[in-house]
Amino acid sequence: MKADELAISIASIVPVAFILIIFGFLVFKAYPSMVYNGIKFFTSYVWNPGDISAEPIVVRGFKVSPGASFGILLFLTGTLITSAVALLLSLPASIFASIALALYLNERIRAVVSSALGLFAGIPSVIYGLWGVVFLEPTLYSRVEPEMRALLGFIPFFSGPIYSGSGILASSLVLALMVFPISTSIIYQSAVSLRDAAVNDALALGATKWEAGKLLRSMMRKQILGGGLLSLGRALGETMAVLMTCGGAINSMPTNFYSPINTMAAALTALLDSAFIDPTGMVLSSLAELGVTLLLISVASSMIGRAVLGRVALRGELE
Amino acid sequence: MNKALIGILLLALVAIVSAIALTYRGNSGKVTLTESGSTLLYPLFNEWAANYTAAKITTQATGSGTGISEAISGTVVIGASDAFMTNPQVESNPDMLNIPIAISSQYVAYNLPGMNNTHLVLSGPVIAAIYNGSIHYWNDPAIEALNPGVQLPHQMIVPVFRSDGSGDTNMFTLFLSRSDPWWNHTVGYGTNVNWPKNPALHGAVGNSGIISFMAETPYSIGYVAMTYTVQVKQAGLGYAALINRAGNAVLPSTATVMNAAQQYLNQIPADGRIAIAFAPGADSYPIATFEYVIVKKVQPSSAVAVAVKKFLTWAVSPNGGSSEYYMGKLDLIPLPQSVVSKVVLPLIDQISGPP
Amino acid sequence: MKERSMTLRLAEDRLARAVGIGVISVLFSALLLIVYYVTSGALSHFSWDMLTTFGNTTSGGILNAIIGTWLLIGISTATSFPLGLVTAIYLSEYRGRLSGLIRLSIDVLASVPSMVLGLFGYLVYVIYLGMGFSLLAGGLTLSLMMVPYVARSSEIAFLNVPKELREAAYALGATKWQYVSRVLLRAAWPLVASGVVLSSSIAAGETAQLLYTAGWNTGLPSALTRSQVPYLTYVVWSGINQPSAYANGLAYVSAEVLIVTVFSLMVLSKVLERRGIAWKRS
Repeated sequence: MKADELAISIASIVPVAFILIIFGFLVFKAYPSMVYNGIKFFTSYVWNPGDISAEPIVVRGFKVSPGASFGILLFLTGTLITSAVALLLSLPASIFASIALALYLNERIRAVVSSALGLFAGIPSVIYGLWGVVFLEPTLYSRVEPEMRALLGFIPFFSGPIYSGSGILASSLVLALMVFPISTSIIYQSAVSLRDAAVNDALALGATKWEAGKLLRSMMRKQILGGGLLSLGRALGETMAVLMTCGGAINSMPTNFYSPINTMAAALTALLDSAFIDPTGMVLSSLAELGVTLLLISVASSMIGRAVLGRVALRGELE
Repeated sequence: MNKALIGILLLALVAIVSAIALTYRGNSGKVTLTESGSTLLYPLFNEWAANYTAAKITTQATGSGTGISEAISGTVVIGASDAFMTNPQVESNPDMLNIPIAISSQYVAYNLPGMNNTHLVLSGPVIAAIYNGSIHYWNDPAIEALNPGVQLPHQMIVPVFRSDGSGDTNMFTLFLSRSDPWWNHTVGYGTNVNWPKNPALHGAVGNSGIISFMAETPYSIGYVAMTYTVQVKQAGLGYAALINRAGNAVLPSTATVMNAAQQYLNQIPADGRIAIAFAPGADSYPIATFEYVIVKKVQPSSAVAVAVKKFLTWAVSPNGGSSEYYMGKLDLIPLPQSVVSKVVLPLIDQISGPP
Repeated sequence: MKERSMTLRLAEDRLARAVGIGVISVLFSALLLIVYYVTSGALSHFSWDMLTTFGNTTSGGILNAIIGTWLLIGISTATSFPLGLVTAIYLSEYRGRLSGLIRLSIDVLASVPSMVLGLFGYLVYVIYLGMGFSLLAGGLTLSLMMVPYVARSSEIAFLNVPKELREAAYALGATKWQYVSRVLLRAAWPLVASGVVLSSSIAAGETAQLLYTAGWNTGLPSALTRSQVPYLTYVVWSGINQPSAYANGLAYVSAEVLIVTVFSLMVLSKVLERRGIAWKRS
């Protein structure tokens, strides 16, 4: 092998090395928590730092504060609910918007809309959060949530107390807005190529655009699935906007749609500072295990999407 | 190579170099004392930083827990905290000083539309029950019993706690632990605690986060530092009179908090660490705490050691940082001179540069 | 199968058109509302002092945060760019046996949530390697996030270079490295630059990672390590919850500066991309 090839090969290994180092280091850091918390880490929703002013005790070989026990079921559930609602809201909207863009609107509007999508995908998460806090939450509390309860209250999960504007609804809506540009761009790209490949023929044969749209949708199943999976990957890892709108729930599972919630990424961010003063290191270890769990779920979702679509989508990579 | 690559790298280089050049121009030889921690003390440190000229003080509101840990790790020189270090923390870090610099307290604030200019009476056990969810509604018999004749709405109470490692949480949970045996046994106290299971419980970050949340959430209740009196009033929130150890309902004020602190003045140990929650005394407000500055005994540089000693001495002096101007503005209580001379100055004296 | 009447089908078509356009309008209104909200909030609190003085998120200005954000962009771009570029060169020109593995790693790296990278950055750069909250810790953590963008867009850039160039170069006796350095990079630089600029726009908007790797500073960092860094997203994050109107104003102005910065970078990226593709067509 020549010198330049060798040098470049070695340099290119760095990403591989990084993945291994990131995963390896986090697992290494998480090991005490895996042993100490065991399976309860995934089955308990109680995050109990223990009595931090009492002398640490040794349990299963690790120093912990007395009574400490860490479970992430609440965060897992919160991630699941918010991502599911976000996808339920944004994916159909993406499909509709993409097909409408591909079939109904003219070239110039298409270009404007595409560029706008790209810009919106680039808006920082903390700004979505800012808008969520100052505009969305008050609107949800005073208008939307009461209406929703009035309309859907016969379903148990949509009835019950409305505590505040923060919670499942606020964070899911913000997430839906954030993943909409991603799924739209993926589905739109495939809509355009399929339109040119097959659907134009249908139109030439006398189909209306709506019928052509239905045809298009049935041809895009794979892309829709892929778009959904890649949006899911983004939604899972979304931190700031969710942190600012979720209500910061702890130690209690949501009882209805208007409850405060917490997600894995938001909880990781909020709880990390409590690890700083923990003399036992078990909080940090539990957070590392939370990080590993989040990492595995996000990567798995993206890899399935990659298998379906042949690629991974990056934020801001549109058109 | 080619132009674009060189161009981009040069740009990055220029940015870095010019910025570093800017910073060297900005430092002008003064020692920088970095502070971070308690959001309660944050307004005070900002005032001090704006007026203290012998050193440059940078401030950050990160919460008492982070303040303590950053002081321990040396990330900052001064860790501001409403809570002194716990015994395990002291054992792991014997080279840290907990220096009292002021006395403060907090409101138990609430947002009851139409009623926020009246003061409800609440007690430790009732608040504990609110937070653990066994009291659901504002017109619960237990709350009505403390407030005869007051029309309370039949609405769900929405309690809020501090998600960040918080000295306010420490203050609040100390009060609850000392006044309610159930809370003491089940939840305990600390900058982070195992909050009870309550589906209505929300988390917020920082004192300001609590105020913002309560301002936009009717029927909420939460704990807010007394240094945020102006903001509490601006947000239109009400606050409670609390039942103290003697059984009296006492409103928070500098006078009633000082009464509470008085009860412990002779008992302050040499290392400064003492909890003064739920004090005895007919007129004592049951939530009170010393405010601490967490500093390393041995500073990495003698210039910093000299500067921080000078600053802290100024901070506790009635002609300096503890004058009425600073304390009155923020509803803080300056340390009595006896405490300063017996406890605080000896602690400040222990700071030194590298051996 | 019953044949459906033309009028029904046309009506259905019109309805669908209306719904489709309605959906697009609603969603775009929501997104436009965000920009409008930030801009009007920024304008109502704006004062030139905010852009020209240092501050601490509750008083003063955001000049330190603006400079800090650019410092972080600089460090993260400078460290991610070479790595991403070299990886793309390997994948597109050298195509060794490791290509599949490398491409997979890039995709996996792109899927790692930003806060997990932040946790890693905190554990390794801040604590283990002792950098403390600093430019280097923040910049290196950001660069981990940016490498996949640079690698992917560089690879696409190389694909856009007509193969005639490669064939001509080899025909003239160039080695692989000579082709890469003298021909490929020169031809592909607009698209490569486009990707780099895009990745830096993402870095500018990061918050969670930086909370635990860069810290905050009321001035500017005095060194690459052990000196905290101010940045715009921090001002937005901490300012918006402050009860003081001035702090809220700082948050809005920072958000506006962020939007302008990110949008400008994305426009620049687009311009470079058009330039790269136009060149190919010519």
